[in-house]
Amino acid sequence: MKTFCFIISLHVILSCTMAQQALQNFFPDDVNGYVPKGTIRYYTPENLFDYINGGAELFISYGFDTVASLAYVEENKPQLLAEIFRMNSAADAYGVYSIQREKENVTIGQGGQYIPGSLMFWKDNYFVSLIAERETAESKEILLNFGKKVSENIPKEGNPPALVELIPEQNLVDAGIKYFHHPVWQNTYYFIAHENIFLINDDTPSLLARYGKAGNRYFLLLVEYGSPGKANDAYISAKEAFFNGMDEEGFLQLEDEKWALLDQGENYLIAIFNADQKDKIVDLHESMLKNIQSR
Amino acid sequence: MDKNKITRRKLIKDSAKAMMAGSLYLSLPLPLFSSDDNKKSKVVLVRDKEVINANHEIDTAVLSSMFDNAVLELTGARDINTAWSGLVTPEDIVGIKTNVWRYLSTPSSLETIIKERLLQVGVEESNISIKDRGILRDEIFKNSTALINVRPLRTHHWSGLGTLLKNYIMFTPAPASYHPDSCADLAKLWDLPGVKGKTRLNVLVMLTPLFHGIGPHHYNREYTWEYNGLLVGFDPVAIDTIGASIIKEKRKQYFGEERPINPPPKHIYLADTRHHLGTADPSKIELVKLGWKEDIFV
Repeated sequence: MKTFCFIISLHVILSCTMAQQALQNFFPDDVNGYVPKGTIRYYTPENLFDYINGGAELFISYGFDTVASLAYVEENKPQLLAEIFRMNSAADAYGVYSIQREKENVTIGQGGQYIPGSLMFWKDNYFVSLIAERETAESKEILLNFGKKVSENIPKEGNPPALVELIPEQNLVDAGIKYFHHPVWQNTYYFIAHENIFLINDDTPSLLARYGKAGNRYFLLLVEYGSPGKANDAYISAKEAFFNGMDEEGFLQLEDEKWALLDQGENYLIAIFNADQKDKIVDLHESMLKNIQSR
Repeated sequence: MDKNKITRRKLIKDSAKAMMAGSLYLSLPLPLFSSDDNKKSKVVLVRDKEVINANHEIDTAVLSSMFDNAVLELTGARDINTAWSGLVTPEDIVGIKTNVWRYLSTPSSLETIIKERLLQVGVEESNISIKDRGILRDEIFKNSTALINVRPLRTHHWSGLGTLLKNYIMFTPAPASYHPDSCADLAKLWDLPGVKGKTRLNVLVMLTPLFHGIGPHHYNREYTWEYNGLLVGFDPVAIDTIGASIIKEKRKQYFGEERPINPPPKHIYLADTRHHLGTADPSKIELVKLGWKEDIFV
């Protein structure tokens, strides 16, 4: 037993060391005159709360392994903070990026967003955040150069979640997909319910997608289950909690006169919400089914 | 439909809950309806266009005037010392529970103003402490007979909003234990022995609220704005409800469409319906608005 515990402990230590070594190699030595200040700080799920308080739950909900944090300085210029999060999978790195992004406006890594003073992107199973202490005339260029260097240091790309391929593109809002596997994110675009009525958990990859024009948005929720039985359990749960009164085809007009749909595939649930016209749901649903069938 | 679950449909169908829904989750055109319960929670919103100057610095004199006007309105007192004498006694040991989140902390000028008001009505300086972290080791807080709860309003990665209700998280040695279900039961903090029954005043700082979060640290100045306000009251649930409504409307203005606060700040709603700490029902909140009205959102 002692030998077993020793082996497990050694495995954990080696894994941590390897993770830290990998992360360490991604930090550039110099960017536009900025150089590292101090040493890299590492945090894991056990102590991430100490670093970013309640924000830790966001990363933990996506399967987080280790983050490396390092400040960069150049004389008389605002300090930069580089943070590289190693997630358990490329899908999770995509997910934690997707839940935060508002738009995709830089081609760094496998997708990125810049807003004044801040750059974030994902590549393989890494989510990267670069922050300038304050925005200046130069800071955008510096952050983008920094991001490119970090991205180049990450050796390969990873696969986004397989479910993303299934999302119909017609009328899809730019950067309008959120990937997750924790029920807290189901209300990101549209309040559905406090409770986990779709039985979402770490074993159910899920996507929210936003469609239509501002003022007439409608939303798609796609959840994949491990078995038809689990999909059916979720179907019953969602029907009882929300879709009571839907017709035989799963269509429902809510009390606010908006249309919704609930449909179960073999291992899937498809739910569409908030359409001002039934036809929009019909079209989206048909496209969704075509994509699933041709998978 | 499962009657126990809180879903969008239930909120739409149940007109009583729709009032809360309108303020917290949904944008529904809700008519006011009369309530048999005449007891309302009074919340004072005070704003001043001049409280933040062109250099984005707080004008302490303006802030002091705003705060005094809000407290006078809340208490109905004729002068500020009478108002504060009704809130604390010279024998009180007072903890001012502030918030030091590095990106949007309670302004030190406001902390100082609160302390000055306490001193003016005879509270001993040695019996006043202003703290956020470390209050469990602070002798004043450990022996406190009164608390003043003050913090800026902001969005939060997990609870949806960082609120007055949430500000007491430092009274527990295990803050993460309140995280389950996106911090649904933060109201239970108010039953802790170090807290229960002690809060004399709540101040939700709305000078430059954060209405959206991005990145690991959930902050970018792009998502703050100069609302230039303070929300003051005795009922933290009512104040947080009003604050949530303001954030919701600002998000709608900024994004050009409905963008729910995410995760939904259910802890505010449940502080009323589950824990009965205060009211999240707008029909039971008396909101008094003082000062600047432009883009007030409520």
